[in-house]
Amino acid sequence: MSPRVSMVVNGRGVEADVEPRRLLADFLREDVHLYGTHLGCEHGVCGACTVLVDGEPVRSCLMLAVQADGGEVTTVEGLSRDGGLHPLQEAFHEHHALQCGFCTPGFLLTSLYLLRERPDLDDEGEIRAALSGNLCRCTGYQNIVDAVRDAAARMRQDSPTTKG
Amino acid sequence: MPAWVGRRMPRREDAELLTGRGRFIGDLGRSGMVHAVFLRSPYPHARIVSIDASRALAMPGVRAVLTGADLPEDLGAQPNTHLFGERETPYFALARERARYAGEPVAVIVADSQYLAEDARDEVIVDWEPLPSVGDADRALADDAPLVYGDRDWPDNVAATFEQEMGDVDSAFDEADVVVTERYRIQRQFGCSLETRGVLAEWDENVDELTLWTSSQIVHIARDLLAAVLGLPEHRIRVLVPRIGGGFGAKFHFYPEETAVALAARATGRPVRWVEDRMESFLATVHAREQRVEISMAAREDGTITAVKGDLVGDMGAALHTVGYGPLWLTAVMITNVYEIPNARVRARAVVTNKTPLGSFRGWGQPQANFVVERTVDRLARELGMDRADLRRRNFIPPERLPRKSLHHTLDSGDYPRCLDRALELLDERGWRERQHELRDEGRHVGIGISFYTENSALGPSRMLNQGGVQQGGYDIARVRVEPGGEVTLYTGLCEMGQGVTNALSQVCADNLGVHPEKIKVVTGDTSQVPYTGYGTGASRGAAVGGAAVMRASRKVREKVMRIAGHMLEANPDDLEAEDGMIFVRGTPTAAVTMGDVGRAAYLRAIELPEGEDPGLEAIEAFDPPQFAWPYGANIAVVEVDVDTGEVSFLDYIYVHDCGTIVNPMIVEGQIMGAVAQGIGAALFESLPYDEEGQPLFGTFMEYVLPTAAELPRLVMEHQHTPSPNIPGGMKGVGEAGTIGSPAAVVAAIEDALAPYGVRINETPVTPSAILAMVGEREVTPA
Amino acid sequence: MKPPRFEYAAPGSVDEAIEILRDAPEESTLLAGGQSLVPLLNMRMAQPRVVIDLNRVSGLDAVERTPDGRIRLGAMVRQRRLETDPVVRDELPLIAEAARHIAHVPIRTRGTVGGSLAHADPAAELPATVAALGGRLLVRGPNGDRAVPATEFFVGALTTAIEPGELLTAIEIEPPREGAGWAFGEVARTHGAFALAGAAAVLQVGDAGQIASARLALLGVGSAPYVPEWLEEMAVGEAPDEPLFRRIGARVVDEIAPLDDIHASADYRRRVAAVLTARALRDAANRSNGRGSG
Repeated sequence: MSPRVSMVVNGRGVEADVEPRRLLADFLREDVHLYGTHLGCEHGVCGACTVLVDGEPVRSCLMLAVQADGGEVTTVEGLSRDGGLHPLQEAFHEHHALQCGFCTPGFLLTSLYLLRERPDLDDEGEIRAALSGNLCRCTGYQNIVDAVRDAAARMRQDSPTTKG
Repeated sequence: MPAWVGRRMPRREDAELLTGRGRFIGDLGRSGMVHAVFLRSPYPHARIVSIDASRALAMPGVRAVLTGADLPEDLGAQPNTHLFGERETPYFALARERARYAGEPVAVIVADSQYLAEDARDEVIVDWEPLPSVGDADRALADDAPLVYGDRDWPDNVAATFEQEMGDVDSAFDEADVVVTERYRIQRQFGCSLETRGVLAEWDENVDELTLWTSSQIVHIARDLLAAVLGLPEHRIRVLVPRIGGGFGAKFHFYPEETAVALAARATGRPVRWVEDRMESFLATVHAREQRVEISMAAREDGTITAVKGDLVGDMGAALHTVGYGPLWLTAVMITNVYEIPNARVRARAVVTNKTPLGSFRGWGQPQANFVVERTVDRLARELGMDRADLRRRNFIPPERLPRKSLHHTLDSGDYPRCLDRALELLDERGWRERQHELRDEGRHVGIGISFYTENSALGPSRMLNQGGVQQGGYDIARVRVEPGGEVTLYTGLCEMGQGVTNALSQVCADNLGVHPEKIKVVTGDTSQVPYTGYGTGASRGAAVGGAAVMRASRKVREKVMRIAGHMLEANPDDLEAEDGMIFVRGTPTAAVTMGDVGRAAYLRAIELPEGEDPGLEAIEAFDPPQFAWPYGANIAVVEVDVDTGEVSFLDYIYVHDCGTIVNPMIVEGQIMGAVAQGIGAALFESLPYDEEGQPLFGTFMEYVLPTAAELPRLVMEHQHTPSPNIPGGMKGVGEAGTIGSPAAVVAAIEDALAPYGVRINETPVTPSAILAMVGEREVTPA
Repeated sequence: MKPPRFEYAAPGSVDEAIEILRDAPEESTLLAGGQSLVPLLNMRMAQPRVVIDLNRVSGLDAVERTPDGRIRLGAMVRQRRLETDPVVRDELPLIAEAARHIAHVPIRTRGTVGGSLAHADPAAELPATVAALGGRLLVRGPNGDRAVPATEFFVGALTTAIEPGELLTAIEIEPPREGAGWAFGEVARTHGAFALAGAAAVLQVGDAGQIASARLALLGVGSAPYVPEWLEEMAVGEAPDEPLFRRIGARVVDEIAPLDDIHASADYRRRVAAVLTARALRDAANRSNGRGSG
């Protein structure tokens, strides 16, 4: 039995018949062809597959596609707007916060949620703790931390009303 | 003056990776593609009595199950390209008759989806006869040890013994004022890229040609070894490398899965893709580092180190993989580090055990060598009552005596004292020696650890490699082509795996050709397009050897550009300059043609070419380094230890180094930060423990602990610049540097923090549990 | 690492879930947040015939005050909400603090209160915290509801008092008395990793400066949360000072039987249990009645 699931991914409605056991990550990658969501461990530790479901970050390797039925999903492909880079993406680029880029989508989505929740975030220790659920093997994290802090500042600049 | 080399330039591939458009092996699809999974040995050592795949084959969607018995009879063993004199440890794409480590591939199952393939794997029944096994090199050396290759009539488990000596070691020890001897144990660790490995194979049976995509650092070597194993001419195999999600040396190897997936594609007549899952990655991807080392140092009372000797045991696992026991060999020959020690002797024994084969990981054998030497220098300082830095300074090879031969290599250039002194200056500028006293008075346990490293980079002179037994060259070849429109295509055999080599090479090309880097497209990872590279992407050779090859090819093209432009401008080519795609008469920028004008002339308008000039505008040039390069640097770690819980936290981390000419400081810094993180992983977190029989005690990221952003320090970094005398451009390379000195510095800092307890730390990782065991019983005071 | 085939049911009510569970209680697995179950499925270490997804069951995600003054947390309340919900933060700050130690935000957004308690991992934060607070767990089965005190609920590693065919619907916790202090602490190899050991404490200092009440629970030091039943007797009426906390820690060490694993020795866990006990009690005392920094 393959139930039909439908959800909104990056603002676009998608529908498919999927086995109940199909992981959300595989659904996004293989059925919706959004390969930016990467599978790094499939047991919830590395964070590479992090996406937003109904605005909250989740491990898409630990969620079944059927569980996202009726939900709204944001992947890395949904981050940039109008062809331009999101301030987080810009900051990652400028701070050399990515090397191989495999973990990057997970960091971006974790950070996107983080900065929505905490637009005032500036403390390095807090940023490091908040990013500790995402593993990176290339950068030693320092440039990622700097990029997130810088992006927070840029986003505050862009929308001063969200301050505080 | 170079315009682009030395510039901090953000990378061009970022946009693709930041928007989810980068395509890694797991993102590739082919029409009709099916999926492979591997069944692996659950035993460290066992005979395969029989395999029954009938139930699996009867399942819907299952295409094939191949076992060792299905391999072509003339299939070659997986080759080892680093032959230093060792017994053969043949292993195949799939285990034949017996498996010698838990995780060894035994069968490949191909089905319409990975889900179905895993379902089918659960139905393959293997009748195993477990055999005696050994999970530890010390035990493997015992007289009554189970023999890993008893079936090949080995009398013991020693695959090779390497010995080298210089000077008169015994006399030096006899005459020494002080001798210190220490024994160290360095754990298993591995590259552990966030992207696992993967292979996609497509066999065109009409022409009997194979196309193989693989997440690999060795595009040509993978092709050649595959050709050798399969018995195919090299030109009938095309190997492609898509985006790589980190390699760190683990992808420098040629793996059984590459052969097996190719065979599965032939057997099914379908494109077959396999993506290693994380759990199997801990067993199926080469491990690294594990050694036991006993080292003795002899010194005079004034601190002059007169001799060193080392006895090394490398736990190689169940087979010598692609690079043989190369990393162990490198540890042995780097036993004098940067010190002027006239007498040295090493013995290294490569011991087989029933564990995953050992192989490459960023730094190869150098972190181990650095750890045992630097920790022993600290010990000697304590024994002599000397300052640790003073002792190092006293024994550094002074700048004026470089280049200088050490045990095996010739260290090239630099100023070690200046580098260490600058790091210590930074330590004092940041107030740490003073604050350490204050904090200690407050009852806090703060320690400072120092280490100094050099790195064997720019691998390497091909003849030297061959003489040493390496069945590969060490050169690199670059092809630079100016297209008719004036854009440039740069072809390199080096692979981009996140380290930024394509950006660095385009900066080198831009300067030497006179174009903007953004006009340069770099093509990598396709044996049908890129020139041969001698050694693959590793050994910190990209910027140095690859860069020099690009420099040569770019200059060659530029000469032709100048001849054509000179003809067009009616000027002497020697009077021309090229910059940002414009070629102009020096001092008269209005008299100019563009690179596009020259390109069109070269390809489309022979009428504009000088008499006798051939059409076309490209060059292929090789560079084979005459010597290795030797970057170096100082690590200083400042840590605090919570002696109630054994937790270690970083207060500061200083890194001062010299890697010659820096092409892109941003990339160099990123390389060092990432490598230091891996060195800290070695010092504190990462380990792949086995039980005595070789049963792994790990299987997930719950056991293999990678440091997160919350544990790692912010690096304070400074660069010094001594160009390599042997590499055009002066680059020395930097990729591995950060892994080498960091474990020693971190462990030294912990030891210093625990000075009141007089502990000696000779084993990594230094876990909280290990720290409390060393600190011993003490009264509990909530801090 | 893909899950095996299973039948999937997404009931809309607790009773419907129990009805499905009744058919094959031993072959069915309840899926709450999935942060422990789905890894086990991906590793094929769990191969249930039926997965009953509780995420569409209504009425299990409420945080509410009961008429008798307890706080009731529905089994499907997400761990992330424990950090942010004003009722939890005000009335059960110990729970809010402990929740911050559970893995990472993207785990806590899915992970549930009930899932963690029913999974009963010996290193998990919530079981010990609920035990320290003297909570009780509400379980429903074919024969109706029953309440199980936390101290009886955690039977062993990954083993609880939930019988086949039953499911956990909520927990109820009586907020500590006005003025009680609280603290939670743990050590882990890395931030958010499973705890090597941890301690949760609630302690009230009376008007005269003596301890009026104290409760403590430890995690990671045995197969189930360790709650020293002798604590009140030893602590009440005593001055909340370091020597007392050290004596309590020493007694804890004598009574626990932690295990070795690749991350830490049993001896390490014992010693750290004493340290974390003393720290938690001290910090809780400092928070009591607005003492210390709170």
